[in-house]
Amino acid sequence: MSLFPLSFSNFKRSLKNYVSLIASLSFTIFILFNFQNIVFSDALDQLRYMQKSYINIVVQSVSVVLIFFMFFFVWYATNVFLNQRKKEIGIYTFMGLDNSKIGRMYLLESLFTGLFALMIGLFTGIIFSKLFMMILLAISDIRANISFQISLNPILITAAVFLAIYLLMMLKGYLNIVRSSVLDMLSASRKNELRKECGWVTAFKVVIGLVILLSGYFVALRTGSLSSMGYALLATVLVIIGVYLLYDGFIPFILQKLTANKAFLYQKQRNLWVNNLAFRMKKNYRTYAIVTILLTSSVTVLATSLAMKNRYDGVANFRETYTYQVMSFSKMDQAELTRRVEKDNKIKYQSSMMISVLKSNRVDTQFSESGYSIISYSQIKAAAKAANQTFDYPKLEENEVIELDHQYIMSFASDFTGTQKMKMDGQTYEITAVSKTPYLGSLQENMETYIVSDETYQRLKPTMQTLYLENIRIKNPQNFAASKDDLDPLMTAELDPENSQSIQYVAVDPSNPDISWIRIMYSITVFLFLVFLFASVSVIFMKLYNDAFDDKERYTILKKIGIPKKTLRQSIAKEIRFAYFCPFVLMVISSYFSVHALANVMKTNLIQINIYSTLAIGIICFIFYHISVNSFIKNIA
Amino acid sequence: MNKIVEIKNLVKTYGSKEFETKALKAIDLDIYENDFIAIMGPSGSGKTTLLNMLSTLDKPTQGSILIDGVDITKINNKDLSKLRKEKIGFIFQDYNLLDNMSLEDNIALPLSLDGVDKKQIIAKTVKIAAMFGLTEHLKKYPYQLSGGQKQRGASARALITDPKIIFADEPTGALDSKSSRDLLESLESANQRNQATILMVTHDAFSASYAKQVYMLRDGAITARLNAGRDRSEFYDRILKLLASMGSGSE
Repeated sequence: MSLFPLSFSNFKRSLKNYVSLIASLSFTIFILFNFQNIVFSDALDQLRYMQKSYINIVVQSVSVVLIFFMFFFVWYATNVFLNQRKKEIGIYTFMGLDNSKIGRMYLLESLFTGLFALMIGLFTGIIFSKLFMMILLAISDIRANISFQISLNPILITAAVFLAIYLLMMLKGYLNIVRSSVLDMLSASRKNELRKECGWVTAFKVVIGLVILLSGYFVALRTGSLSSMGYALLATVLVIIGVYLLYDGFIPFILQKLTANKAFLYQKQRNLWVNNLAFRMKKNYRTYAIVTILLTSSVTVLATSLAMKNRYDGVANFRETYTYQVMSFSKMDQAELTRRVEKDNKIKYQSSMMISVLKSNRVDTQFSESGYSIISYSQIKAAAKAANQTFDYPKLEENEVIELDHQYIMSFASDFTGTQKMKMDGQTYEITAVSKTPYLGSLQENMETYIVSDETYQRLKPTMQTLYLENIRIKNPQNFAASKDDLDPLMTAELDPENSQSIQYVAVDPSNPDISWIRIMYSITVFLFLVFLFASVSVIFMKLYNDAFDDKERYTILKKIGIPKKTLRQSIAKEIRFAYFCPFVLMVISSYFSVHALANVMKTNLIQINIYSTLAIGIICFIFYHISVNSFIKNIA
Repeated sequence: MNKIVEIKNLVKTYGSKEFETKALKAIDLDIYENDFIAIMGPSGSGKTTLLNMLSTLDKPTQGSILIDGVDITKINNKDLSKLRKEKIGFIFQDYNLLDNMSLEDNIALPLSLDGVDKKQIIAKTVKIAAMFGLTEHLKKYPYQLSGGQKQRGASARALITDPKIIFADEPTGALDSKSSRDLLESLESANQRNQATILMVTHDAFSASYAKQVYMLRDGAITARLNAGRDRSEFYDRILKLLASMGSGSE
């Protein structure tokens, strides 16, 4: 009999049995393709142009994580496949096939499986990449910045990476078959799950694993300024290795101890599920480790994206407060401005302000700026009311000021935390608060301004030059260009402090093209979060799906000896709960440290994001846990 | 003496009306406490059908089976599984030990899942393991045990709940003669010293000779019954003679 038709008919028959293998392989291809597609889409071209080095770090680390993920996933999936196949193809030995022929048959079958999975993965990947992009554009409120074409590069790269990994694993399987005896093959599906290890090897793994993991956490805590970015990488590597060793050493060690403790074991359904967990750990530890790392990455990625989004919103906020800001060193005719703007636009709100400008030599603060200005408390309060902004600072005392600050998109400089004091004309004022609310609109980004009490303002005003400000916000900021023709004739060539008649204005484009790459970045990180999250729970789900087939025989025995279905159901539920929530708990701990490190780098507080994303993952795990229990029970029935 | 199992007019037919096959034809059988009954018969005689019915795996077409006074053909699934758990112990030809736990945990399994006090479980496991000569193997996993050890382990697991009756389906079917003898001696002592009630289905005349009574099943009906005498080898000869007279040899 020729090998090719035999292998092909085997493949066709096993298609049904190995749905989960093909599904899981396709899934990794799907993920890698989608990511590669983003890498090669126009979106990232823009990103690279804007912040090349920064984006490269992100793209590279994510690629490494994804390829790692694919490597172990394919390893795991093909191993399961190999063990299931070995028993079946072992029977061919009795038909007179030698090992190398069986090995070649395995190669052919695996090749069909792999190519089939590749086809499905790429096909679904291409279909869903568009859907993903569309959803993401909707999430990130972007008006078509990403084009929808599919280029050849991501397809080729995905296929190449997958095939390289897959062929390696195929070769490994082939050698395994060629070198094994018939007996090995026939009992393969039973073996491979028993964990026998020297005591000192276990002890070594337990200790080293804990030390590496804890030092990873410690290094994460030390990550902060730009100069310590190397720590972030070190922490990532340490935590990944630590998590692996934890599942390979510490956790099985604890489980072994638990199975040895009969007083613990002989209660409830523990004799069943704790034993099963302990027995399986060697086979499954990679899965748990991958899932934990993926979940941690997904939380970190989401935290990154939200931190960026927060900053972006902050900046956008500055641009949305006022559409036009007209400045002059003498009082302006507000009615005239209003009339002109209303020709083409409806006004939503407007306000007038007086700002007094100080030369920098009259001010002494922690940082030296080129110019400073002050504004009175009651003016800001009135303008904030008109613009519907919150302003709940208590009335200022004579020697108190509020600093008006603004958002930075990319800055690792620490927030102002030094002495909360400033000096003006030799007099010391206490900075009672730093506000990032854009009370002064986009001007606040360019001026260092302090709010002072009305009395202080009146006292200092005569010694300073006063800048008059007319702020106008129109109903539809996108239509800002329409009123330009009406306003331009009023303006002088420049704003000249020597000429009190000079007048200038700024018109703000709300779409803000120079920082719009943040939104693309945001959508990509949300995408990654979804991919990681979906990948993680799918990994567990598929593992359990496969386990159910392995366990079928065991549960048949249990039913035969009269163990009630309810007991079995409870035991299954507990075992599956561990499969989902052990990685979850470890993720909660690890993500606390990774998000903490990120918060230090980004200079923002991310603990809320950490909690919310953790809760979200918890809920999704919970839902998948229930689905898993049901499908598991169906599969063993 | 207490009647543990009472089988009345048990009929089982397979297939549709026109092509009916009668697997069991009106079986009547009573099993009393401390009985050790072997059921013999050629392939297709209905042994497995009978055992399946007794172990509640299959429902009869007609007739009733009372186990400890409860008609198992009439109770619902929940009560049935309770009855299986509490009153019946099972021994199978292929051992059916769980490969993912040690022998000790396998034996303790039925009790540990039943909420019995853990100290009592541990004590009972040790005791019953000693009875089956398994004390030194308790920490081993099934793959480290021989067939005979596995089967004795499975028997220990069946006995640990002190069931009213033990159903053993070809328990020596996969064992060599030495292992078979060890197992049968253990069962015999469980029957004699622990008052266990055993119903064993077997092909093997030697195995059957350990029982107190042997029933011959043929074409779905009980055709003969032998009672053990003083001497087992004499009983063995009688069983062989009966088999020969039935023309099926030891099949």
